[in-house]
Amino acid sequence: MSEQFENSIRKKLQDAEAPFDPAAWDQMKKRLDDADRRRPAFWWWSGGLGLLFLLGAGGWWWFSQHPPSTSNEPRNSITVTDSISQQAADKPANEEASRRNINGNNTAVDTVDKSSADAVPAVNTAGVSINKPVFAAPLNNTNSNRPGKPAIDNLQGNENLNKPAAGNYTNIATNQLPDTTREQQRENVDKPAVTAAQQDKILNAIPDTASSAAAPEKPAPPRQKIRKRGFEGGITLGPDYNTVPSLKHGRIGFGGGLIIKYHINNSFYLSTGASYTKKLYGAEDKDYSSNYPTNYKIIEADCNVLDVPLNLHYTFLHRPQARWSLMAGASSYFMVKEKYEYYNYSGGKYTREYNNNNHHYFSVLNLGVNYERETRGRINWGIQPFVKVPLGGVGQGSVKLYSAGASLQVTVGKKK
Amino acid sequence: MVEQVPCGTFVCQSQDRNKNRVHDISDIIEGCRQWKRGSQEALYRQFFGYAMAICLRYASNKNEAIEILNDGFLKIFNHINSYDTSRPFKSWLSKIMANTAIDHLRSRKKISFAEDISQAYDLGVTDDKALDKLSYDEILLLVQNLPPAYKTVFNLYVMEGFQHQEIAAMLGISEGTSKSNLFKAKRILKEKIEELTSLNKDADKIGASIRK
Repeated sequence: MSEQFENSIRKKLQDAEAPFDPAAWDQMKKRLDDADRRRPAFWWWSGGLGLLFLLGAGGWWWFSQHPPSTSNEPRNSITVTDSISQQAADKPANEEASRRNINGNNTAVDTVDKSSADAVPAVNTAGVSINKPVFAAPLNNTNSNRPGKPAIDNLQGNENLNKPAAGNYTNIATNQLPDTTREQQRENVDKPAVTAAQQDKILNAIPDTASSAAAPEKPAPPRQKIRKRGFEGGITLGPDYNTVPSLKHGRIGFGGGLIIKYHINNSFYLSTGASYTKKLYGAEDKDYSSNYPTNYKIIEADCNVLDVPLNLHYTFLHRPQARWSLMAGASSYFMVKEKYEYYNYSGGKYTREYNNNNHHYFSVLNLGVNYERETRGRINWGIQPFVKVPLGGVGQGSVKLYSAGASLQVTVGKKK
Repeated sequence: MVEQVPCGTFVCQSQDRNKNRVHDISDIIEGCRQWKRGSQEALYRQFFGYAMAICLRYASNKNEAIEILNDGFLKIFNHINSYDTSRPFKSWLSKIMANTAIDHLRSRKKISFAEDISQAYDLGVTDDKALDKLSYDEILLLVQNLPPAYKTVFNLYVMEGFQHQEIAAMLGISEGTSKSNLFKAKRILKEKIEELTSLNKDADKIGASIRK
């Protein structure tokens, strides 16, 4: 019987164990030494983190080199200062105090102390009333630094005005002085523009000055306050370079899709969406993980992947013209189509295709940087260089697929 | 003394001294995961005999077998993380060795599997005595000298215990081709065994004949 023959021959062959051959191990050892090479994954990780660190440090440096006085609001301050110098030219002490405030070199408390020495309550008022629009309201009846503030606030502010902060300041300022705390005074430093404006108003003590003070506030409302919470939606597209850990046979692919952003506040936002990406790469058999590793010279992969990311972005730099953010998150890969061409050493080739066969949830780490142009309309656009570091293998062969690229993002959000 | 240890799809035997080593296997594998050379050498030494026996059946000679063996071990070291520790290591190793051997034969010998839908015939009565009279080395040599395509299917089916369906998927051939290749391999082996036993001046007649 055929089966009996098989059993007999199996029995005969499987009993044997070949004796150890030291020469074979020597060969093996040599190959292991060759393979005991760089760990490419490490370079990807450190490269991605290094990139983020450099950009973060660069952003911080840039920010520190350009103090807030040059950012969104300074124009107001300068304008107001000018108006002060014109309108209050006969009060040099006050003006000087105002300028100090504007420059931010002195704290509000200093300003109060110095100005109280000569020009007294008006300057104190200047040092106090500042960026709290509620104090401006009773004077000019119209303007406040924050357009959104309701009139009721102003009334409340008016009530506060009747409470003198300190005995020294009560003379002229009694009506204008709010219930000022030191904390409020410190805010002067941040927003000197209104300080100057208030000072001006108080000095002149007539409602007419309000219009001159209010005028400079109109042209450029602070942009940082615009976005806050809210959604943005749009499209993303761009090329990426895909490679396996050996860093050989990388190919450029392309992807595009939809993106949705949710702004939690001015510093943080979440993004998600879905990108349909074509990932092309070449791999060697050692890049593949399976129970049946094989000997192929190269495996050419052509995969269509639906990439669903969930990323958190931190905006570390607000510029008048642009915003910079760091991005970190994870992507889920849905392998819509996988096509592999296996080339063996003899030049033979065979092809395998898998459709919608593999889903990998949050299997890829996303790291990147966003550069977003500041626009005045609803449409925003930006560039996002990124790296994708695999947390696990993807696809039929559980390949650790690394990607690096840049995507263009165009989104529509709230009108600013 | 010889004990039987289940290893995957077929039963293999190992020396009693290996029994104690099995306790270390998880440590060795853990060391291999960390790419420790000492652990790699320990794994290599421990499974050399078993793996080499597999490779020898697919190869034509010892050098070729060592080449396959080292290719296979390199895969094992590179993919040790994908090894499921709840399953017998020998089973995983034998699959890797078999696959490495197949690819090796494919690349070097350019084996081609001719599409063949002929049925597998009964080889008739087997004379166990004829087989018994031959040594392991003699039978191994007969297997090694089989045409690569026949040898591959024979090893996968008879020695590794794969089903024709699995073999067909592994080799990219039809089940019919797998079956006919197996039959042809067995027929050749049978003829050679008969031939060899006659040459050995065995007086006994071989009762087996190919019957359609």
